[in-house]
Parts: sequence; C-alpha cells; structure tokens
Amino acid sequence: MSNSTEGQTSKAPSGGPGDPVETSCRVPVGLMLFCAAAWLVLGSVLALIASIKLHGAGFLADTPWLTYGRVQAASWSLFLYGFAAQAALAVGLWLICVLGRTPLVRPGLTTLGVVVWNAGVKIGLLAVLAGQGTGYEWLEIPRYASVFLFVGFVVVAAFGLITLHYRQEKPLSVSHWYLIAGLLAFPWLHGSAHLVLLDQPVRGVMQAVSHWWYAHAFLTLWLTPMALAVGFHLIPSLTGRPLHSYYLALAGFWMLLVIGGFGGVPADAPVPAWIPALSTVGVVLLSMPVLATLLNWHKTLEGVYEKARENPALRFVVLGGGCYLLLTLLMILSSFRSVNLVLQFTHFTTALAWLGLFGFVGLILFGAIYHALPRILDVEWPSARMTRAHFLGTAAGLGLFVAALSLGGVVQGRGFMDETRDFYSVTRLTFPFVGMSTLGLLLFVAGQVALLVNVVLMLAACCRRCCCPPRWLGGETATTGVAS
Amino acid sequence: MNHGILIFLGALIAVSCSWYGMLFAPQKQIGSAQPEPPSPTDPGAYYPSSPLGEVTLGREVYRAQGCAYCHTRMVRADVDVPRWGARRSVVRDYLFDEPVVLGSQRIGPDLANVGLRRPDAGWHYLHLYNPQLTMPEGQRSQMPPYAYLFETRPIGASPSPEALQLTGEDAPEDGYEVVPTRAAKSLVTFMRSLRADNALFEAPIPETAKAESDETGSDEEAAEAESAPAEDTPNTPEP
Repeated sequence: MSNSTEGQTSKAPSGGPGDPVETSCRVPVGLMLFCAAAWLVLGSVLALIASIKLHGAGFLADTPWLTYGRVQAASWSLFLYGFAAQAALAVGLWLICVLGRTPLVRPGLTTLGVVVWNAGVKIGLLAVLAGQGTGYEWLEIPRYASVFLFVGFVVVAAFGLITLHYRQEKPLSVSHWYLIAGLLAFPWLHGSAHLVLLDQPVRGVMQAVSHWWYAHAFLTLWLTPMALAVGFHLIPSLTGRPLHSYYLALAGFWMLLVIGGFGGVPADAPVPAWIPALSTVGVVLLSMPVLATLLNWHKTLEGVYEKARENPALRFVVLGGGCYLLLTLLMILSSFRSVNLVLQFTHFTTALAWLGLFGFVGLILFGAIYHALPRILDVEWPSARMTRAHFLGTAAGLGLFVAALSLGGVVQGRGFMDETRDFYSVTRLTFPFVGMSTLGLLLFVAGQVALLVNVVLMLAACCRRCCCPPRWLGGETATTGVAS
Repeated sequence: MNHGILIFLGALIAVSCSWYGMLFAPQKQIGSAQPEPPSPTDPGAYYPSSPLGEVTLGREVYRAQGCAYCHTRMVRADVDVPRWGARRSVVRDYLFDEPVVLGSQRIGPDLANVGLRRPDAGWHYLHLYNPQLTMPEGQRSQMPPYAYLFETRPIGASPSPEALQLTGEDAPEDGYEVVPTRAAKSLVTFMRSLRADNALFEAPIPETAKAESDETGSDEEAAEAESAPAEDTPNTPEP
C-alpha cells in the first residue's frame, strides 16, 4: 500500500458519458437527489416564514400548523433528514460505484429503501407541523416516522456496502474509509438516540445530554465523513493531481472518528461540570483532524486554485472547505466557557448551525451533485445560468445570513450579560441583524429554487431520452430517442 | 488500509468512544439521581415531586407548540442568576421532566422560574392571547399570539370567571367572551409550576441574590420588573 496506489484509485479513469458503472445507480440516486433538492426548497421556504415571523409576530399566527415553533422545527428537520442526510447518502452511493468501478447491486431494492426514507421524512414533516414533534431540535421527527428513516437508511446503506464488497478496483481509497465510517455512524447515532430519547427515555437531564451528543455527532461523525469523502475524491480527480499525503489523511481520519463525538454540551449546563469540560476538550482537539484534512486539500490544490473558477463542482468544494475552517475556528472560540456564556443562547448558535450544515456540508454536497448528476443521468446540466444563480444565491444568501446572525448574536449576548439592561431592550438591538438574515434567506431560497429547476429539467431530459414517450403512445421508441 | 472490515470495526470502536464518554458515563453518574427529601428546616414535599396530571398535560402543549425554539429553561451559574433565578439549575430540577427540552435560544425570556416571576394565571392568559397586550408602552414582543388556544363564545347565564379582560379593539363583540381552552389552561398550569427557588446541597442560593430578594420584598418582580407593567393593569397605557 503506497501513495501511488492511493493516488491512482482516486484518479481511476472514469468512463466517458454513459459509463454503465455510473448510470447503474441512476434510479435511486436520481430520485434521492431530486427529493433532496425538493425538500431543501420546502425547508428553506419554511425557514423564511419563520424568519419573517420574528419581525411581524402576527404573520400567519392564526394557524396552529404554522406557529413559529413548529415551522422552525419542520424546516430544520427537512434540512437534516430531507436534504443533508439524503444528499449525503445519494452521493455516497455514487462514490462507492465510481471508486470501486462496480455497478450498484440491486438498484430496485435500493430504490425501495429511498422510498421508505422519504416516506419517513414526509410523515415526520406532517407530524411536526401537527404538533407531534418530539421537542428535541435535531430529532424532532417522532418515533413512528423515525423508524421509517432508520429502515430506509439501513436498506440503502446495506446495498451500498454490498456493492463496496464486490468492487472491481480492490485498493481502498481515502474516500472509502470515510464512506464506511459515515454509513456506520448514522445508524449507530440515530439508533442510540432513538433508543434513549424515544423508545426507553432516560431520566431527567440525561435526555438533554443525549440530545446534545446526538446533535453534535450528527454533524461531526455522520455528515462530516460523507462531505470529506466527496472532497478527498473530487479534489484530486478534478485537478488531476494526486493527493498530497496519504498518511496525513490516515491520521486525520482516525483522529476525527475518536474525537468527533465529544462535544455539544453548553458551558454551565445543569450537569456535573466534567461533562461540558469534556465537551470543550473534544471541540478544541477536533481542530487537529480538521487542520490535517484542510492542509492536505490545500497542498493538493496549491497552484491550481484557479480551476475552481471554471468548474462549478470544484468551486463549491473549495468554498465548502473554507467554511469548514471558519466553522472549526468559531466552534473552538465559542466552546471556551467565558465566550460560550455570552454567545450560547443567542442568534450566534443559529449562525453556527447553518455554517456547519450548509456552509461546510451543504456546499460540498452541492459540488458533488454538480459533478455526479450529469454522469449518472448522462445528460448535461441544462442551464449554466441556473448553476451560476444557485452558486451566487447560496453563497451570498448564506454569507449574509451567517454574518448577520453571528454579529447579532454577539450584540445580543453582550446585552444579556449586562444585568442592568432589561430583556426587551436587548432584543430590540437584534432587530436590524434579524432583518439582514431574512434578506439572506430570501437569496438562499432563490438559489435553491434554481437548483431544483435545474435538477428537474435534467431529469426530464433524461426521461425523454430513455423512457418517454412510451411505445404505446405511438411516440418514438426508446432506441431512436437515444440515437437522436 | 485495504480491508473494509477492519476499517468498519475500527470505526465502530472509535465511534463508541464518544458514546461511552458522553452517554454511558454521564448516565452512570446522574441517571439515578434522587429527589431531595423534606428536611427539618424545610418540611414539606420532596423536591422535585412527581408532577400533577394537569402539569404533564401542559408540558405536552409546551412541546407541541415548539416553545423551546425561543425559550430556554435553564439558569446558568453566576451569569444568569441576577436576571433569571434564585440559583443555578441542576440535575435534580428536571428529574420528572419528559421530554427535557432546555432550549437553545433566548428569543424570549428564560422560563426556568417563570412561575416565580409570574404567579398570576390571568397575566399568562392575556399574554398568550396577544403578547403585545402585556408589553409596556413602546415595547414590542416577538412572541406570536396564540389566540387559537382560546375560544370566543356567547356569554352564558353568567360571564365565565376565566374570561379574558379585553378592552378596546381586542374586545370580542357584545354578548361574547374569550375563554381559554383546555390546552391553554394546562399550559398556564405548567408554566406556573416552573420554579426552582429552594436551596439544594449542590446549588445553594447565592448570598447576593438572597439579599436582593429581601430588599425588594418579593421574588415575583425580580427579573422582568423593569420591562413589564404590574399584573393587574396589563393594557393600560402609562400616562
């Protein structure tokens, strides 16, 4: 096992258009990416509604289904389970096929898993809006819908791992390690949290501790490995350069897995002091795997950064890497007790969550989507302008949202620290920042609509070519469709 | 590292580390915490005692409306004590809580001691019906109105004692009254039950807080006093 084998694996010659390995996962991955884009649009519209409610408390206030607490919960659930987890799973499935040069095993049954997962998301969404959410921010989807998520995931991930087992290209690349870890971590995390929060709830404040752990590990042990798998594949293959250091990647991988799950407990939480202390230590140590990974990426990209200008996929991945660095710095900074006490219950928390979910994981997944979907469907992206609109909307919207809420959070937190100020006068200070964040969300929604339109047009083009119009309608046959 | 199964097992062990550290070990330490028995200085019930049915129903309403998305329910040592409570929140405050949703945002005030600050049910009803009614002149609340937790109905033989005292444009038509539904009543009962002002071994009442509450004479107004009007004149503009 040497550097060169690893380098070759990530540069393994991808077949041209219509490569059977990549098109083998067309149905499940196409369906998942379409659903992810659709849930993302719905989720960001709900987030926009919630944000507007912070300005006009009476906005849509007469319907219990649309009260702030439920809309906010529904939107975050859609982001987590509808978009991020689903897109990560889809991209992971595609990566397994491409890296191992093996067609997906049993695409039909995998698609069934996808349908079950999305049924879980849909039931969960309705349940949260109907007031049956669990109350735990990252696990709002109630027990009966959460089971669908678990089963759907296990089915899809199982066929992914079976495909991995039958791979043609035997050496495992760095991306493979992260994929294996991620596909293991989700059922492990979700299963544990489901067990100790929904099935056999632990007593008292242990519920909060379990939830904090789950929320933190959901990002660091499940979404992060999937995003890093994408980065470790796309950066070498799009720049045509071998990965800078295999051993640095190896160290980063194991450090992330061991350290990643420690964190999430806020300072001075109502628990014995060693728990938040351990959490702080975990978050600070997390800088090591993050720096190892980012240094590796940077060294691979050094001198060829300008390729990101022409290639939308690389552009998203590079920006996502930048957000990962910013996220880690802010997480470390805000994990120190003195800072945490100021920022913990402010808008800063929201800004950080968005930076992690969309800035880091989301952008890298978008990059993977832009790279993978044309190969999977064997259709070019229909509109370069839409791609550009999506990038600009996402980057500008997210930038504005995160910047406004972080600054607003600092102002709010400092105000709360001053005992002589009354609560509402401090809250009033945040209004301009919340306004800016609503504006950012508006841009963000526009960007995601562009993505959805692009994906739908692309799927339609693929359908026209392969399946429609069906023979019984007297249209062209499938074969002539492809020929034309 | 070319053996998938080894990576799989390694990852399992690595991921289990945090499970052990963040779930198992805390559970071992605090999972079996017990309520504080009555003491000679403080005879009475156990603290906390098992909640009444009405309180658990209200807790469900609190969860279902997503209250925790704007309100926390924890007082942190030192920094939060002057504003939000007599002492810090500790493990034993939540022993019978289910689900324990401590919240992550203070878009609205902390509610760990709301029962102490706002003992009056009438204030809560008015506040839930339309939060702007209980705000001082010139202040605006970001809280949405929960008018759907109330019912407007024709006045029966005699007006309901629970009917909201609404005036001006908020008042219902003549012959009608606005009364809280079962959900609103449970929610208010739950909120009035939220108070943690007894000293515990692990959370004594800080001396400064004690002195202050003695000076003002009552705990009720301690935290929000500056911003909120007196309970009995909720929507009378100040002269």
